[in-house]
Amino acid sequence: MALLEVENLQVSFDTASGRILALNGVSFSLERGEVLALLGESGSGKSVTAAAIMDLVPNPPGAIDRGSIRFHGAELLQLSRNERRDLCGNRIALIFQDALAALNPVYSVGWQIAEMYRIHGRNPEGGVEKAVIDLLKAIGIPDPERRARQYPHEFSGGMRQRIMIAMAVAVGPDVIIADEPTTALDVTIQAQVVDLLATIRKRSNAGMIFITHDLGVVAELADRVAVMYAGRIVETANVFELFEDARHPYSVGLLASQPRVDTDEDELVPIPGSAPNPVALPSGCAFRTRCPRAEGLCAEVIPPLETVGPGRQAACHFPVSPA
Amino acid sequence: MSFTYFLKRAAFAALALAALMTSAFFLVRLTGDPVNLYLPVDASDAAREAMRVRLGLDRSLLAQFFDWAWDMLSLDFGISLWHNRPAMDVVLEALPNTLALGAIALVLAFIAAIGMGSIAAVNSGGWIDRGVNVLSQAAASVPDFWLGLMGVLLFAVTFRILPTSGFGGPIYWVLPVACLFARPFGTLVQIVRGSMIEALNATFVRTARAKGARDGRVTFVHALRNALLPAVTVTGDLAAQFAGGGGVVEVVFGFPGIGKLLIDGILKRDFAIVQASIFAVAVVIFFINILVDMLYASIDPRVRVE
Repeated sequence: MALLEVENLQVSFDTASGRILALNGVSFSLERGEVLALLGESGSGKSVTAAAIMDLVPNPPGAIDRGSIRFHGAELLQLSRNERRDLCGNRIALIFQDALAALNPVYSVGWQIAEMYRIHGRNPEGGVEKAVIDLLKAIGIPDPERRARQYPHEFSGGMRQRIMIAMAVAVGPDVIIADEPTTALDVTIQAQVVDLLATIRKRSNAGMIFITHDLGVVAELADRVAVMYAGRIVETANVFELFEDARHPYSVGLLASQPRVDTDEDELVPIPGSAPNPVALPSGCAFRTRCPRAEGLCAEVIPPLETVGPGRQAACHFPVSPA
Repeated sequence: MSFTYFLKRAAFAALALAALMTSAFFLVRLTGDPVNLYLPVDASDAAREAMRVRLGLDRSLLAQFFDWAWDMLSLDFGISLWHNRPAMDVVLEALPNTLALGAIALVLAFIAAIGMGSIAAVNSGGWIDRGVNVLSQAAASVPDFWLGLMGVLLFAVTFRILPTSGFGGPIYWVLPVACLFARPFGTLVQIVRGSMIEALNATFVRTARAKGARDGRVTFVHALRNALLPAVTVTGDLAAQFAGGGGVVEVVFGFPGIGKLLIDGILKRDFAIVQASIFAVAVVIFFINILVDMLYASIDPRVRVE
């Protein structure tokens, strides 16, 4: 049994210009000890996926129309509001993108980490206070006894993100969802945060969902990648296969549009056009208007996510041939 | 708040107080000559002149001012013409009544507004929110003299369960507190509702949910403390207003507070009472402002000053 299974998830939002499908039949699974990257541009549905798992889709205007989210085989969408809350933080944790906005400005960071133990009734050995200080020490905060009493605005961006991460992993969750944890940081600090996440991943046996649009971070951290476009997963592959041999034209375009050090190519090729308007998605395949391989069929039939090799799938009528 | 910071504030406040008292000195003397009010219409000119000399009103305004300024510096506020005892003694008997009345009304209004405003914010757009909105708008805009008269009519005249006016046990406080409660309550509900809606939409509230906090904790621990600052600011302003007396409410209910004393003092040209009242109220407002600053700093670490 997979640790976390998302199946045919559909999430929609009411907007001033009509109802939009933020997720349109998303399915994936996550195993223990695995890092799955959700890769895509903004608006592709990565963060909505995380919100749906954490029961954070604002309702109204959003709603989960159908689908299934199973954790250790148990259906989350059938649990009560409070049962979902008890799982959140405790068994499934979320790391936010912007730690300055995500930490409460009026409580000390020590208080906010300690709250994790208190909410879930955990009594770590030696007491909550000691556990908080040990945790701050472990994530590389100097002088943790003093720093625990300070407030979020007294920390640098990188330190705040580490505190966010420490808070998420405090009570040892089974699933850690990191929603663009490095996007708001300087490049040098990004590397430190990625290292910290890699360390946590090695030490715990948790499964990790890593939401990003940054291929470099994907290459460094992920085992498997799910590429998202306009509310659907268009390709899944292990990280080496994706970088060597992407099948979906969108994945190929994404790889060609970002600089890489592992190939001789020194010219970046942008994907033409821009992400489609979610209120009026193109008929058939949503990517067809930007796709160099599109033909008549693409406008008529939405390509299903089909197996194109061992452990890998792509949703394309005319996938790129194996290299 | 450091001690030097406090001293700096106190020095500025003393300057402002000096200016305030100076203008009060001249303004009360514009209300007219007390001698005409206190002596019978057919009093002789000699008697009038004798009283003026006794009160020091025969000398030039400037000479009176310097005398008065010297008395102020030694905190001597003079004798009340009407009460015939030291003015500050009379003021210090009335001031605690006003402060207690205002504090009870404001604390009740603050607590009730936090509750109602939060509930409205959590259900924003729903029928509870609309109901709270109508109620708070009405409470914020109803004139307190009307509320006082209606209260007397209903509870004292018709039902005969509360006294019309006067002073004594807790029962005499019910109507004045209720009248003073209405406007701050209505205003604060609107403010709490607005700042709570903003706080509930903040990212840190999503974090709290993601951490597993249930609704009550999210609302009252995570969002509320962030939403308190505007409510504290307004409560501070209202407290400063109330320190000057519940004005109309004190008069309507014959409540022996500083507001009634001040109004009576002006009507009776009792200069010493007016000046002593203004001085006492100004000092109270100074301490209210210090208290508000301390509350600020204890609520939000980002505004702590060096």
